[in-house]
Amino acid sequence: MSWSQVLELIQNILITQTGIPHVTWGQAVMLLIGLLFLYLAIGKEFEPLLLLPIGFGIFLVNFPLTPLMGFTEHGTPELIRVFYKYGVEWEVIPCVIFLGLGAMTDFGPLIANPKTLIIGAGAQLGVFVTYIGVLFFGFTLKEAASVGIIGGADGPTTIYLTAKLAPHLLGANALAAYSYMAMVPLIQPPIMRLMTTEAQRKIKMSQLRYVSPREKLLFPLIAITLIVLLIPAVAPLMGMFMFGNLMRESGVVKRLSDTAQNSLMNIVTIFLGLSVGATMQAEVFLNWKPLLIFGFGLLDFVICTFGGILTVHIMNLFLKDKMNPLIGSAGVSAVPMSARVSHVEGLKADPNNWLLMHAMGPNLAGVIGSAAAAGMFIAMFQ
Amino acid sequence: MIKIYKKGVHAILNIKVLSALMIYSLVLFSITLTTVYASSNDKQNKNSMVSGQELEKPKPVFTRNGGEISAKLIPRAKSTSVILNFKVTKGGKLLDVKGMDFEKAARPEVDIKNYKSALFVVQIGDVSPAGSDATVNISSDFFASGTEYRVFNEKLPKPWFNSECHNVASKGRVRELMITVKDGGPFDSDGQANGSITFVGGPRDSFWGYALGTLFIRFFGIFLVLSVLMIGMMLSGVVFSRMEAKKAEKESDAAANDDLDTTTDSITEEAVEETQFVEAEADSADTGSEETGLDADASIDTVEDYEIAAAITIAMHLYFESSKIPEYTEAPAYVKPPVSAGMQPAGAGQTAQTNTWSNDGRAQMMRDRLQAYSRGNR
Repeated sequence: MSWSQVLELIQNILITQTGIPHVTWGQAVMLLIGLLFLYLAIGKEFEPLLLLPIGFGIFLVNFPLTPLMGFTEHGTPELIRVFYKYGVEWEVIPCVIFLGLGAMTDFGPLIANPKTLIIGAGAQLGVFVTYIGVLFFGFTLKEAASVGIIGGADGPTTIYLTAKLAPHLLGANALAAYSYMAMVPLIQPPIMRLMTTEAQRKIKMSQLRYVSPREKLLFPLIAITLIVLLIPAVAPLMGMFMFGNLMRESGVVKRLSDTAQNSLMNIVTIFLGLSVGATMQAEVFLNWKPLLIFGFGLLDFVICTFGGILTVHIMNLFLKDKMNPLIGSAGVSAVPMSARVSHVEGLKADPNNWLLMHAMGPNLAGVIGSAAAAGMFIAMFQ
Repeated sequence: MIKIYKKGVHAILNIKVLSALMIYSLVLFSITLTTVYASSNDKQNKNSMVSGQELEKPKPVFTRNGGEISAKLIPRAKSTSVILNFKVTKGGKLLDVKGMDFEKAARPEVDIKNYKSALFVVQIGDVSPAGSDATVNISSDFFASGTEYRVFNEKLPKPWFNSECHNVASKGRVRELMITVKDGGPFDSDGQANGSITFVGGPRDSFWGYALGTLFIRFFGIFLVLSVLMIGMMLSGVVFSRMEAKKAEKESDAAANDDLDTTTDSITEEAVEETQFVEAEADSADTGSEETGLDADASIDTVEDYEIAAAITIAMHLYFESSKIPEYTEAPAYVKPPVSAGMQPAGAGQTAQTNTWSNDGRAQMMRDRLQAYSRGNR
C-alpha cells in the first residue's frame, strides 16, 4: 500500500466516519441551545427534572452522523427513536405521567370548594386566544391547537396533544411549556398585581370544610364518570389520572401508589425528556415557527393568568363569601408553583392571609381544565 | 399612570426578571440568527421548512364499486378518515376520479385552508348527445349544510368559481352535493362539446367560520364540563357532609351515654344498697344536670386547651422538623417569600395579630402540606 493510498484511506475515514466535517451552523447553534438549557436546569434549577434530560437530548442529537433518531437501513429505529416511537408517538408516556400525578394528588382542597372548578375553566382563556392568534400566522388548525395548549401549563397534556396533532412541533411546544412553567413566579405576579386592588388582595377566605376519606375515595369515580361521558376523547389522560388517584385514596395498594408516584414516574420522565429533546434537530427546529411558539407561549400564559383572575372577579359579583382574586392565577395547572405564587402574593398584602390551600383548589381544577381543553381539541379533529 | 410606570420600571429592573429575559432573548436571538442563515441556504431551507400544510395534505385513495367511485382520505384539520362518494346520476358515465395537487390550482385569491378535502378531477364519458348536461352527485357525512363545491378551470379568465350545487340532506348525517355539468361548458376543463367532460373542483368550507365557531363552542364547553363536575361534587358534598354530621352526632350521643353510665355507676356504688330503681333514675337525672354543668366548665377549659395543644403541636413540629433539611431552604430563590411577607425571623411587617414564632410555625406546616403536591411540574 503506497503512502498516497494510506492518505486517501485516512481522508475517507475522516470524511465519512467522523462527525467534524459534517457539523453545520444549525447544529452548532442547537448545541449551544442544548448547553443553555443544561445551564438553566443545573445552574438555575429551572425545572431540572425535565430541562436536564431535554437539554441533554438536544445536545446529543445535534452531533452529525449520530445513530440516535433515525432508522437503520432495515427500518429498525435507533436508540432514542425507540424511546420516542413507543413512548411519545404511541402516546404512552404522557398517560403514564398522568397516572403518577393522580397518585400524587390530594384533591381535598378542590372537593372542599368545588366552585374553584370554574376558575380552572376560566384560566383556559389563553389556550383559545392563542389558538386563534397563531392561525393568523399561517399555522394549521392542528398546529394552532397544539400551540394553544401550552398556556394550560401542563407538560404531559401539551406533549400528548402535540404528539397527536402536530408531532413536528413537539420539541418547541414542550420546551416552551416547561420553560414558562418554570417562570411562573416571574410571569404571574405583575399580572396579579395589575388586576387586583390592595383591598381585594387582602380578602380572607373562610376555612375549607373537612373532607372525609370516603369522599376523597369516591371523587375519582364521580369525576371520571362525568368527564368521560362529556368528553370521551380525554379518557386516556383523565382515566390514568383518576386511576392513580384512586390507588392513592383507597389506601389498600400503597405499593402500587408509591411506584406510580416515584419509580415509574421517574423512569418515564427520563425517557420523555430525552425523546423530546431529541426531536429538536437543527434541520427541523430552526425555522420561524419555534420563534412564534415561544412568543405566543408567553402570551398564552399571560392570558390564562388574566382569565383565571377575571373569572374570580366575575364570580365575586354573585358570591356572598367573596374569593380572593389572587387564587385565580392558580387556575393554570402548574402544580403547585402557581398556588404558591398566589399564597406569597397574598402574604405580601396581608401577612395573616394564608391562601395556599384555597389556591390549590383552582390549581387542581386547572389540571382538569387543561385536560378538558385538550380533549376538546382532540374531539374537534376526529 | 406614573405609579404604573414606576411599578413597570421597578419590575423590569428586578434582577431575576432581567436575567430571565436576557436568557430568553439569547435563545430567540440565536434562533433568529440561524433562521436568517438557513434562509440564505437553499438546501438547508428546504429541509428546515417543515410545513404543517404539507404534512396535512390529503392523500385520497380511490376504490370503484360499480358506477360509484369512493375517495377515502384524511382531510386537513382532521385525524380520522372520511369517505367521499362520486357518481353520475344523469346524462353520462363516470369514468374515473383522481386527486389533484392544490399547488397546480393555487391562486392568490384562493385560500387553501378552505379546501380541507383536496381537489378532484372527475372524468365523465358517454355524454349524449354531445354538448348536453350530466349530473354529478358527491355524497359524504363530512359535508355540512354550508359546504359549497368550487370549480377550477384554468382556461377561464377567472379560473375559480362556485358551482352553485344543490346541497341536500340524505340518510343519517350524509349530505349530497348535486352539480349539473354541461359538456363544453365552463365547468368542463377540456372546453369542447365532445361527449366527454373533465370536471375539476373540490368541496369548500369556510375555514375562519369553522375556526371561530368551534372556538367559542369549545371554550364554553369546558365551562359546561367543569360546571357539571362542580354540581356533581356539590351534591355529593352535601350528602357526605350530612353523613359525617350524622356520624358525629351518633358518636357524641354514644360518648354522652357512656359518660352517663359511668357517672350513674359511680353514684350507684356510693348509694345505699336499698335504693329503688325509680330513685336511681331520679338520681341519674340530677347527675345529668350536674354533668351539664361540668361540660360548661370543660368548654371554657377547651379554648385554653386548644391554644396549649396548638402551641405544643407547633413547638414539637418545629423541633422534629429542625432535625431535617427543610425543603424550603433548598428551594430556588424565586420561590422563597420576601421578608415583608412576615415569614422571616425578622420582626418587620408584623401586626398585633401575628408574631414571628406563630407565623414560622404556620409557614412550616403549610410547606409540609404542600409537599403532597410537589410534582416537579411534570
